[in-house]
Amino acid sequence: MIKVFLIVNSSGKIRIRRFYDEVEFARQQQIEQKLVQLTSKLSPNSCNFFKDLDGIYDKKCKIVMRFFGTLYFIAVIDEDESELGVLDLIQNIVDLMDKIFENACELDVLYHPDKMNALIDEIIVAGIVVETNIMDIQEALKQQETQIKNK
Amino acid sequence: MSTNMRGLNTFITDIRHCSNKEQEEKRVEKELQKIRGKFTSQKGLAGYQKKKYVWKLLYIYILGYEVDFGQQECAFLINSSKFSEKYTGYVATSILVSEKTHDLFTQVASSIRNDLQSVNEINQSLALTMVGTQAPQELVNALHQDVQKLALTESRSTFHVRKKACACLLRMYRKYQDKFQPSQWAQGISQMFESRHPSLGFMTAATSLLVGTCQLNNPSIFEDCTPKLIKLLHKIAIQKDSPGDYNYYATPAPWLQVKILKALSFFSPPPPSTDSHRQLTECLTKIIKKTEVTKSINKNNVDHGILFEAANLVITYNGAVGMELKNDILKLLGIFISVKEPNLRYLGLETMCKFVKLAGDSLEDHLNTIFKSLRDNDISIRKRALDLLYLISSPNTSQRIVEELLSYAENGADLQIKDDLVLKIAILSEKFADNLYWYIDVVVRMINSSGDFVTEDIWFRIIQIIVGFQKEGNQELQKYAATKLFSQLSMPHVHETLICIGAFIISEYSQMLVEQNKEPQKLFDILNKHYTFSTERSRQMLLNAFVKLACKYPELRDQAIMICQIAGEHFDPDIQQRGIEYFSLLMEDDKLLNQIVVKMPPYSELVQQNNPLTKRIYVMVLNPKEQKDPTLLNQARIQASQEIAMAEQRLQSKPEQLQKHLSWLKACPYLNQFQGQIALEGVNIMVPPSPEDNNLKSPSISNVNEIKVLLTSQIGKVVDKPGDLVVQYKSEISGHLGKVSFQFEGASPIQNLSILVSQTNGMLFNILPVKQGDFPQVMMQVLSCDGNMTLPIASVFYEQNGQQKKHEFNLPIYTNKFVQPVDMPYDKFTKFFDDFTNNLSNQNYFKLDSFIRNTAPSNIPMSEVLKKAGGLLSVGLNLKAQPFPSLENLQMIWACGQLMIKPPEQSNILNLPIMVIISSLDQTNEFLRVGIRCGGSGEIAKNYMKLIMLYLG
Repeated sequence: MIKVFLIVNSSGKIRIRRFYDEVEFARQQQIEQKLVQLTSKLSPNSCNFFKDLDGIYDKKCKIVMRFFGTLYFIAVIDEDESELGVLDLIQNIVDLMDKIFENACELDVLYHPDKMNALIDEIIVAGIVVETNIMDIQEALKQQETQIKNK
Repeated sequence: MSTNMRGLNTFITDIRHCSNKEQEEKRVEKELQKIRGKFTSQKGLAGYQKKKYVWKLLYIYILGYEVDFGQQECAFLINSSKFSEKYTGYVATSILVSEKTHDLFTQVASSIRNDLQSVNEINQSLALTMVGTQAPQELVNALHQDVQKLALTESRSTFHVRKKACACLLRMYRKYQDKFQPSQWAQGISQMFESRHPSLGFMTAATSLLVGTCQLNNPSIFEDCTPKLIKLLHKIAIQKDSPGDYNYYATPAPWLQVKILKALSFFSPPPPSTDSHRQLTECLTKIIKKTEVTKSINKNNVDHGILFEAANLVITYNGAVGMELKNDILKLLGIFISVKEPNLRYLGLETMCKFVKLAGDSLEDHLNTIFKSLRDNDISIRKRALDLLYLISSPNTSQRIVEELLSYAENGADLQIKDDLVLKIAILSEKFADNLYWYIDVVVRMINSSGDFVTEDIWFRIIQIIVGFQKEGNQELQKYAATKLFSQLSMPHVHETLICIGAFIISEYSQMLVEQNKEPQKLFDILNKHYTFSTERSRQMLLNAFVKLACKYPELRDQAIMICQIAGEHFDPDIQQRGIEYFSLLMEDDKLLNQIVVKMPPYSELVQQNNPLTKRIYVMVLNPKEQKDPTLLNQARIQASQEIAMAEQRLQSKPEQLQKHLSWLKACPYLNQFQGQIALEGVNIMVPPSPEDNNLKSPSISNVNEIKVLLTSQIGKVVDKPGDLVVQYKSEISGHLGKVSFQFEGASPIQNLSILVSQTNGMLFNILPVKQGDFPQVMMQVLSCDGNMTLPIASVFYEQNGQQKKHEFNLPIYTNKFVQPVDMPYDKFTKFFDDFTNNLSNQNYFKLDSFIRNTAPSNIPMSEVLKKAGGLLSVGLNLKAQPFPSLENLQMIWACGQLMIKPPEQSNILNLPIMVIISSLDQTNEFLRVGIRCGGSGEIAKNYMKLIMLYLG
């Protein structure tokens, strides 16, 4: 299960913030802060994932991070998820953003909290990945948008 | 491009233009005030306005500000008939509304149900996504049947909706397990994998639901799915029969493949020579043999994700499928740990750890590569490499590995890893030392390079080994150690820990050094040189050493007296006390002194076997999944815990003790009354616990209240540590399972609380994440797994007023808590009891007989004492206790029950019988007779005896 999914820019500002387990606000902030600190350790030569040995979220969890352009994608996952699988997932989300925003950049994420959240909701529901097919997701989002415009 | 809400866009732009945090905070504060005003004003807001403000709140939350109002507006948008508002309502509610702070969900439940039951799949999806994010209790109560129906039964609903329903259902089940009966899903889940034209997204969600459910439940009810999963995998991986949209970097449906392989690991391997076995072998072979390393990192990630999962499955199946792929996997792992890509190195090392058992010593070919990983830039990789080296150590490789670890400790190892590194060096060097000189050299080098990380248990252990076990220590070793430490301590600056060890060894074996022509004065000077610059701890050790030396060599006495005299005025109370005591001791005559300062006797064999270091490395909480993990690490853990338990058992039934007990019993004048009912010969006779080896002792069960807590069935208890911490806890145990919940309160706020349970012999604890807050809470599950139980200790670590604090207390969970009464007719009971008593060679049953002192005042009739004992047996010890021959004419209480345990390696629960007799004696009121018979382990009888003695004694 995916426990937390964050998109953070390179100066540590949070752009997408999803917690899939109940976490109190103060603790959410604590977790985010520590995760953001971790991004500074990420370099092209380091591993994209590690065990959460310090218990930032939970010692049994793993943390996966990937950097694209000016954005860090961070996921905290439990032992059921495959690390490389989540890296794919992040790539998948980026591909999808590129399709929807045409060469997505941070500003797209910033000015479209509605679209971004809808996009994430199509892929991750209740911490479970339910769809990875880009065409299907685009279709679902399109339908939703049409419905928004109609009513 | 931007949203079509102008106000929101302006707000976002404003925030973007803030040049610092203060400006941003100001702007956010202003906006919050404005929105609060709008929401509270009497004028109704138009739907569009509400929507816009809710989006702003959402945006403010994402920025990292707490939003403490507007929840009602969010939730009520769900009721709107306008889609864009409904949509906003769903998204905002799932993110902003928490069931803890807002009781809003009942008010929107009916519109959510309408959406779930509608034919509009977009509305259905939104509802499922929202409910799934938090699974608030009220909505779970109201909607769980609808969600189950959507997920499991093929009705009108589309795959698009069903996949979300699966995710939502799993979330609900995880949170409220008692509400659901997964056995009823078995058929539904199994059918999901039958559909002819599956939507792969739906399959992915269904597989996740299966994995998640197996995690919390006995997977065997879903065993049915194995062939279907394999067929699906075969279809995707071999036949490539999947919609092209799901290809990702030319690999068909990688996410699903990974999930299927993961799901398969929960079930038994398909039996040989079945279609499934053949298909799975084909898939695994293709995945393992045909995967290539390409130039595209993304392609590699995709393929290797599957590959690692396939290798894990081969390991989990323990070779039952794909054993012939062993060498291929090994070759691949060998490549992975040497490539540039750090992700692969990490996973390669991790998978190798799991692979140790299957691969045997063939991993040794990769030693050099693993050594290189130990010096990788990435800490996660270094840690994996260290774990792996520890696991593959064997008599062949250990010296090389220890040498490498030492040289790493000496140059290059950083703080983050040293703790672990030192512990592992200490264990390996002891375990594989075929020559003890080598051991001494290793530990001295270890302390020199990493002394700060050598904890007390490690250096105590070193001293134990030098002093020796059993009858006689190894004198050669002692001599070597003394010489080595002597030369080490001759250096001007030495690590404190080395001083402590040196002080002990040099003074203890001074004779051996003097025989090598070293002057006693020289020994004294070498130690004394370090005295002034040492910490309190090593000064204490040095004072001991001075006294020992002064005792053996009278010419040193005056100098020792002088040091002790000064120490007697030291500001540190421990040193001061030692100084004063040793000072007056040294003033006594030689005879007394020599009686007090004697040579250290060797440690018992038990100490040798019961290595606290091994214990430390294996004291881990095993969750149910890890118990099934057939890897070496886990086996080693279980083995270690068994060894520890056996060593403890050996101590408790030493032959001399048993002989003493039996001859005491035989000499008892009351024996005649129980002819043939007391076990005096044969195997498995247990000795009643003596007050000293009472494992209820530490930290301590000191008063009657604490004993009472041990005996009640449900506990609500408060532990008070005056001034700063109040712990309330409650436990409920039924059968072999139990849960304990804690709440912590403090005079001032408690932060970063964590809890650890130690001394958990016979039980497994699963501690759930701590809910931090003003009153931190934590839940733990406990499972009995072995008859040999000790009283667990909970250690709480927390921060208060900026200080780190620790508090320890006993958890009142003991053998009796996992016992259930058994009803049995008297004649059957006596038959069993006598059979157990008189069958001399049956290894399965344990017997304990004793006479205990009746501590009741003499004016209390025996029948009352027995009634009290009966109360103890039935209420406190959970047995079915009955009077004999009748309540009016009470001579004996007999009681019967069973202990429920579930050993990790077994799938079923064991019921171990326990029978207890307490009876009065014809001749005297001074004693009571107690007889216990039990199965499983003698510890059960001893633990019961302990409780009886604590209560009646």
